[in-house]
Amino acid sequence: MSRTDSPDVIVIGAGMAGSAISYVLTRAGAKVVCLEQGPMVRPVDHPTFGDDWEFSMRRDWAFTPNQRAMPYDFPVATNGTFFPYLYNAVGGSTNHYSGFWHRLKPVDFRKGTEHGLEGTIDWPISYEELATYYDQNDADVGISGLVGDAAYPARPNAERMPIPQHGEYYNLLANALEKLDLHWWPADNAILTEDRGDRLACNSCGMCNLGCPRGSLGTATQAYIKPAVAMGLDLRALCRVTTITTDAFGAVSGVEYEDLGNDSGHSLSAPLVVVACNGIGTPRMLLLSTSPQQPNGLGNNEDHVGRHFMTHGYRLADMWFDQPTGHWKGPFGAGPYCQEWYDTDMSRGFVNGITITFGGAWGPAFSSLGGTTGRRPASWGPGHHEEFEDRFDRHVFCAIQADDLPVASNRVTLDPAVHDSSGLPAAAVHYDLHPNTRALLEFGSDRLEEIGHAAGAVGIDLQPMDETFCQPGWHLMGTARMSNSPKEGVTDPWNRVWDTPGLVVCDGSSMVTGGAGNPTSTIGALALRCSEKLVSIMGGRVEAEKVI
Amino acid sequence: MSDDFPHSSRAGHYGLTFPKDLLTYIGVLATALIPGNEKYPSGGDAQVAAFIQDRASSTDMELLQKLSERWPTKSVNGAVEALRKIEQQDPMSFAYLREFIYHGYYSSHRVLAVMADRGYAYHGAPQPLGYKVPDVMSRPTKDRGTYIKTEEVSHVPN
Repeated sequence: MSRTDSPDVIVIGAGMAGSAISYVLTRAGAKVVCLEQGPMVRPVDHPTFGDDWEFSMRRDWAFTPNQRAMPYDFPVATNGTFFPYLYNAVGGSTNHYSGFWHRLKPVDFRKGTEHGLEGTIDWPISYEELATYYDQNDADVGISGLVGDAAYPARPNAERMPIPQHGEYYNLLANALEKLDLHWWPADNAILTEDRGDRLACNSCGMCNLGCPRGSLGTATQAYIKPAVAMGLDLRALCRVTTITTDAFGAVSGVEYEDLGNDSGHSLSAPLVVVACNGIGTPRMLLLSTSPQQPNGLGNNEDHVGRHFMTHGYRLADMWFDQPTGHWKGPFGAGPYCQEWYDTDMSRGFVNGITITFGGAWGPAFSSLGGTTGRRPASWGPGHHEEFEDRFDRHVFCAIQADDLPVASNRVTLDPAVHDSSGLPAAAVHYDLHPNTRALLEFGSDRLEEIGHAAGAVGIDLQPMDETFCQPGWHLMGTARMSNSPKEGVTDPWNRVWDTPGLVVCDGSSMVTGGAGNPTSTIGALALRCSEKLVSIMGGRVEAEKVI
Repeated sequence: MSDDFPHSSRAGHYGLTFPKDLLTYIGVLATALIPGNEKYPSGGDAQVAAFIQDRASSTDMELLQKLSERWPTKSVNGAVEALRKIEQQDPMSFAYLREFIYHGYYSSHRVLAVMADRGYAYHGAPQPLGYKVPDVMSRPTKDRGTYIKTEEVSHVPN
């Protein structure tokens, strides 16, 4: 692996955005160091070869760092309204995501125009400006799906492999949506269904959230890190940046970081630093780094860093059937989706919309414990086995995903009382479910029940939306948003932090709105767009190429 | 196995050995939670106690030890009574126990063998076999759904 002590660029974070930027800049001839506080994840690290794989989901492969508690994880304190889900490793959260591959829609870039609620602003770019980068990111990652969904603009240049094979649950719900004459489409997934280089086609093992030793799942590592390292990227895993440094004029000068492998501290200089640490890690990084010109954190003179935190309203549900559902077969979480109610319709009394998704539901332990909601575990005692057989192979996972508002008081700050293993303050996230998001989820729940009944479900368990409601925070967005003015956001339309020469932020924190779809595709597209600009600024020119 | 990744859920990672009494305690709890019948083995016979010992951290062991001291029993009947009390008086501990024991049970080779005999096309470890699924996925029969074009986005009164 290459090593340079005088890089042109330092990229902090090796998730989808950091990896894509590292790749494009390395390919353009820049000397790039990518620092990632987590480890490299190798095929042998995935627990998919053991009968105890489900137990790993509760421990070292749990979604939340607070449960995993790996030495390189940092704690994330919350006010109890959501679980922060992020994965610290080379590849970031793509190591264990579902690969569900939505784009935003044109309207999502213009929510300021549409309603402007809670200070919602328009993106400084449009869907059309991002479209070509969506296509390129699709090609780099490898996407399976069906082109032609009328609910999206046409994608004449998007490459697609055949859709993956799912268990029986897919047709149960697809046929119900068809019967109700509702919009539905087979989901695009970042999952190969054909071999590609040394990556194997998916074999429908169902456990994407444990990562994929076959390379079928489109991780940032597969798409970008591996080819970047082959071209000379200096990737340093288990290296935690502790602060971004600036010169006397407030321009970025480099970073200080700790090598977690041998507890040694280092300084590294570079004129350009890219922060890509996700919607919680990025504001944390900016708040941890100050200068005389920006004493409240880099990019934070207007108090936008960490604010407008969005995680998508999510209400999860378990559907139960009296016929086989094969829920452990096929990619997890990305079967048919419904966007019948995606757009704002004020006759409903709220703005924005929802996506409803149906997917696989892990294995027998999960079903016996009552699935996602846990509302009907198989009872203990003599009745257990009969009840188990009413649950396993009778189960479907459902998610109602709502387009959150970028509320300023939903924010990431530092928690001075809690620290990571380097002594750095933890992130603290305050998130309150906005009444509009609650209304979206309740509306979506009623629609979900209608769909479930049409599919023949004998039971539908929804997460209760009472004071105990704690939703999954898989998607972390908005906390260093792009804008046309420093009064409205943290970066300019090209992800350059306002008033901080040499500092760029590009990841989920850049997103101005979240839409009602998974953000990884948008994050990848933003990163490709940002990195192309950086290349032009740095004096090179690169034609966007396919990886294969 | 790479050195950097802790693999804390894997058997033997913590290398703890439970006291014999604690193993017995977990065994009777597992049998009470999941009794055997003519088809399925009991939690005890499925070696759930060994599963838990092999994967428990020191925190787990401490928790389990405390439970065994607060609600001691050496018999399955006694375990049924103990579990009823734990379920009512300490629901978080009950949920913890149930989760650990159910995971151990449904990881057991004996249980997987019974499931296979009963016709479930589930083979435990997802890899390397994966699953063969026939390509009978439905497709939408017509175009549905629309999107608002950028130039058509307009303000909605609210």
